[in-house]
Amino acid sequence: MADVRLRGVERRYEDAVALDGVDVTVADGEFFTLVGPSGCGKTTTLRTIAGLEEPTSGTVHVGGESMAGVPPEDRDVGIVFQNYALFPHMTVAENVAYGLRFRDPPEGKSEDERVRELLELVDMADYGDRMPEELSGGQQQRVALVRALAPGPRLLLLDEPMSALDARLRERLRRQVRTIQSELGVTTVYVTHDQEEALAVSDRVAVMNGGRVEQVGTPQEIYHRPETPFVAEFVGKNNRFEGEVIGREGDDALVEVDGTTFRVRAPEAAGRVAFYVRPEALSLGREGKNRTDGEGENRIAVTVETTEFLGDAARTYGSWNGREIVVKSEDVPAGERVVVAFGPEDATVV
Amino acid sequence: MQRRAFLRNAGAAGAALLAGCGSAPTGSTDGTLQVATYPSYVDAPSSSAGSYLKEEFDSRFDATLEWIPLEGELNHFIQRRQQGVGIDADVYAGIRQMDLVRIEQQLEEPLFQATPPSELENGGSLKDDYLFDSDERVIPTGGSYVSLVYDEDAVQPETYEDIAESDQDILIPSPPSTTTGRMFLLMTINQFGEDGYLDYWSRLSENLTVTGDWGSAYTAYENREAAMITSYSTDQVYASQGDSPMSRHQIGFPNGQGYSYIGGAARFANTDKPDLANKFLNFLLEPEVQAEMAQLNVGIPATTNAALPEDYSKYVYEPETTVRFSKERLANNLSTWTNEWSEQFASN
Amino acid sequence: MRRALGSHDVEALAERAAIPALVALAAFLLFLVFYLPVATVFVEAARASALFGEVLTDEFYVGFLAHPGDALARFGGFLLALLTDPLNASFPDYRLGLFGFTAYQALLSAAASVALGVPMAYVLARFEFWGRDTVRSLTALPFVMPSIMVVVGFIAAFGEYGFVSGVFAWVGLNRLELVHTLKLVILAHAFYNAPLVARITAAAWEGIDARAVETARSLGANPYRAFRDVVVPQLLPSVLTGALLTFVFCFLSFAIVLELGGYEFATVEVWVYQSVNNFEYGLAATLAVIETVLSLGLMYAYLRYEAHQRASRAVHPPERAPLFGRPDAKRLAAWGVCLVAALVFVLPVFSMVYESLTVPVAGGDAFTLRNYAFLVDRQATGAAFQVKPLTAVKNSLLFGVGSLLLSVPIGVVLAVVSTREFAGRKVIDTLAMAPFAVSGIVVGLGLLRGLVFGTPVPAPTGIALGRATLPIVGSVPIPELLVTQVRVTVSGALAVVAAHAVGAYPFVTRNVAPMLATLDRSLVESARTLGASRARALVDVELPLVAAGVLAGAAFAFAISIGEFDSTVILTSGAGNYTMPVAIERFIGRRLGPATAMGCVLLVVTGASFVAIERLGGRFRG
Repeated sequence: MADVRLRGVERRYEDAVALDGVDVTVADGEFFTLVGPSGCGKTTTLRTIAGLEEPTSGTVHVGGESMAGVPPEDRDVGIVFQNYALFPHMTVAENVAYGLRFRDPPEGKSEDERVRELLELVDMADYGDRMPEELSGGQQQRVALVRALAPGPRLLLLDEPMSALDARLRERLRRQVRTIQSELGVTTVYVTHDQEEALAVSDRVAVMNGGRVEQVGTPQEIYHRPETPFVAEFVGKNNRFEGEVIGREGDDALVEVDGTTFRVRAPEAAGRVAFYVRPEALSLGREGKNRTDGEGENRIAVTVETTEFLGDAARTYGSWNGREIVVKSEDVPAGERVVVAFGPEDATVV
Repeated sequence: MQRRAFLRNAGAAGAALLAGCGSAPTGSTDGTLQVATYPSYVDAPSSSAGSYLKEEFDSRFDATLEWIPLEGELNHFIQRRQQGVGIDADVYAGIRQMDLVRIEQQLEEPLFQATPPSELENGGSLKDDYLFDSDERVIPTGGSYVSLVYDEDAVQPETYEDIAESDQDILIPSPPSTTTGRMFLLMTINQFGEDGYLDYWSRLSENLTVTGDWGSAYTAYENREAAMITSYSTDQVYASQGDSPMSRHQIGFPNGQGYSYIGGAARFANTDKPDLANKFLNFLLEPEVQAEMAQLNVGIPATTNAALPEDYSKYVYEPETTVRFSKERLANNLSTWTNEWSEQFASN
Repeated sequence: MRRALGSHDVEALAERAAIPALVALAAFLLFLVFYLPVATVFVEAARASALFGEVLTDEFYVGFLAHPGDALARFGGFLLALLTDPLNASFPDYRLGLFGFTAYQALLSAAASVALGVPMAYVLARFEFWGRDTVRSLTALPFVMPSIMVVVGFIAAFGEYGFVSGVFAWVGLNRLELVHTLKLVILAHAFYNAPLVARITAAAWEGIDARAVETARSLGANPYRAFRDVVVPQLLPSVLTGALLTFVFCFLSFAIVLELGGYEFATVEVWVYQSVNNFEYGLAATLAVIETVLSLGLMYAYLRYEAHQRASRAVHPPERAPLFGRPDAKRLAAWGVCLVAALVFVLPVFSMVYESLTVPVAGGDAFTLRNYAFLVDRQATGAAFQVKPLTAVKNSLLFGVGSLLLSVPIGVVLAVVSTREFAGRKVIDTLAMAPFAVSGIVVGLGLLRGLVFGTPVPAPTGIALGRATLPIVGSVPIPELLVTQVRVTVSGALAVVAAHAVGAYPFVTRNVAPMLATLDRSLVESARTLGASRARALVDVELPLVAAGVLAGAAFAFAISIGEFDSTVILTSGAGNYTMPVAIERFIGRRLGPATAMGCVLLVVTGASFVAIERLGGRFRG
């Protein structure tokens, strides 16, 4: 197994920049996810690690070795593409065995043993003689996964492997991938545009935007302590407030936003600041009543616009002073105006 | 380092690349006479003298005749000479006066060597007016006249004007590319003069189709695409052998004229078998051989004593006036005339 | 876990070198049997460079372009007349010139080919019928027929006393008078090229997503509008591609124009050929250069368009209806197309067969086997210097196989190279496709003057001891290199194979390249990350997936080799390795009979091998 180290990797084209200085370290055995919107450079980064693209500058080290000038077939890397890229003219077994033409199966096993072992791992032991076109999307994805793993690579790369599947299958398969990965201990770099997925399976996440890495951290760090506005808004839903710091009270800053003063936990904030409050941190109450359901020092009156019932929760979209406010609560609120409240510790200044 | 380069003509030193053997005739071994000619001389599907001549020659002489039919005909050898490549044949059969003109225009050294008729045993029986080569290199072997061949049920052309004004079509092989066409062109120049012939052709053009070669013209004629064609006055010799009705093979001499078409054979200048070649040329003039050649090649013998069958003359027509141009006049004007003609005829 | 070093590395090295080595071989071969001969011609033209000016300003060659000022003035006059006296205004009669006329007939031919080919594509793409696949593979057949055979077939079919005329006369109509008209030439060109247009267009049609059409309909477009707005724009690039190719081929047309039209319709090629035979090499070369520049330019345009072609099937191709069934507007139209296609394609073939089996007698035609008897007789008793049918068949097949073995790898390698991105790729592409754009006569001319007769090349023969005078030391013995001028000739069977391969490989490339280009890139990338080198990925993954294209190209290449005439005739002159087309030409005598019989033999041999190769492909595809 190996670690991956990218330093200052740039990929420039004649009229565009795909990667604008990427620094990333993936620890040995880690499940590392690159997440970001389309065009942010996550796939390019992955392909650069695989050797399918050459950086215009910067270095790539895998397992401590520089990968400069090393072609893909010599990097000992397994890759699973978004469209699985199974060889349509070979059977499932032949697909899985393909990499074994160039590398011996690990642990001295025979080719057949290795193939069988892997197909069993993904519950497809009886599918060896089928052709790819006979398989469903989920089945193809599993075959693609074990094909990449067959030669026992030191690094596994996955490029949005779930995006062609429906939601339930996606959830099920990503768990399976994660399980296999931790069992085998293979260093894995996973690329997705779905931030929920990124948070769900990864050891660490790198959020990318415009060819740069915005933040690297554990899913919790990314979610609860975003370091840039982009990360704050990209990962999960978030409510943004902008205002001026007009005073301080100990660790808390008093921020005036559109005439309303909010109390925000921000020891070093000063001047113009922006802070975010997660929808689930906002509690709902009904205006005009004397009930104090909405707990928290900061209170605003929000006009409800649409509500979504999510089954185990409800999401309310409303507006306050022209800003969109999103609230996540247990159930759909009644009425057109609600009071939304949050405490100073629920706000994060970015 | 100094270098001394030897330039050697590659007649002997050609190195074959890619293990291919030379396509041109290789050096002849003893007792084989290599005679080059145009393909239909020896390989026509209807009739040709090739097989007969070979059998006869082989049986009479202690030697083998090897025919070498070439698509490129004489041009093949002119080009080889121009490129400085050796010529590996002994004799060429099927040379006409116009070919000599072309050879002289393109080459400095003569392609053939002299064979004065007086030196051949049978040379004395050659018809005087068949001796078209003043340099005595070519021995004439047979001839015919370029004339009109027509369908008597459709037309009765007697003059050039009849042809032009007829409502029936005529096929003529292209003058710039064929001997037959060229000869008919010369006939019109002879009749209408250098300044008037183009005008005649423009009058002719309405019912005229010009084809790329004589073969396709004749095939079209056989398929009854036209009622007239410029061909040879010995055409009925051929027609009598087949099943095309004689009415379609009437011979016509416009204004009583026909162009003298004579073919001959000659020894190449650098042949290593001049004596055997001489024997071959002499053999071609033997009475029985001349007779067979005439019948197989559809022509008229070049000698006075050919042993022709009695009714042969019934199929052979000769014009009142034989049109001939001198070699000098052809050398000076033929290209100009054919160019003028092509530019007028093919103009768009 | 990686394998130990050793044999694996040698293998890997060999694999890495494989593609560049093949490219080098292809380049060398191309150079030898194509570029060098063509360059010889161009050099000749450069020597006679004054002729360029003459030709380009001669009204005979360039028509009204020779006097552009005058032409403009006349056009201006016409415009003026339109304004002042519209009823009497007439478009000025511009002279086309030789080049103009050649382009004109090529344009008409391209239009005719499209007019015939697109409806044929419609039937192929939108209808289901028994034997559809065979018909589809046979669309390549007319293109590879030697021109001499097409001439024979067309005269047999459309001559004044040909088959169709016979039928007309029998029912009381006037006999046809098509031979030696431009109409017949254009029809023959359509015979050659409409199937090509049909093939390319049908492939594009099948690449159209039916869902797109359905969406248009749901948005309110009626069937006609949906067709016009959704289908036509996607078909247009392919149609134009086909038209462009057709134009180039017809521009270079020689035998068809001369034999079926006559000298009156002479094209530039005819002039080149004529000049060559009259030893006017300067003029021939000049015309050839101008001609080649024009067609290369068009080839470049074609290649740019080809990028827009669809080579793969759509996920939801348009549905195919059975061809036979209840008559409705569409079916009737399809039947009409089939009828016309049968007339144009089947008739000449049928007439040729008919002509080979009959002989005209008073009152009609009588059945006879004598043309075939002639073939048998010639084979049995023919002399060594005569062309024999079976020998011709044997030679053709041998050359075909040889040409296949050479052209398929080269064609595939070039297809691979052409799908890589690099600067100037289109230029390399154009040069690699140059054999399409250069006429057989130019190549033949170059081959003849450059290689068949040999090119003098200095070759060392030994070392001698000479003397040189140096300062101070005086006279010193030094070794001298003796050099002789040796003539390097390329001729014989191998040269014919090489010449055929050069003429054939573009077809392999043009069949394979579009398929390769649209192949999913991630398939190769997966293979690479699994450990395959670029060459291994090509062999293991890409080639099997484009096997259909490779085989189609192979069938084409084989058929092209069988039908090749111009270069073959030069290279086999005087030797015993003549091919079937040469035999047909040799058998054309005063009568058409023996030639039609040989033509039928060629047809059967070509058709059978064609279908055999493509069937082999079917087994491959599984």
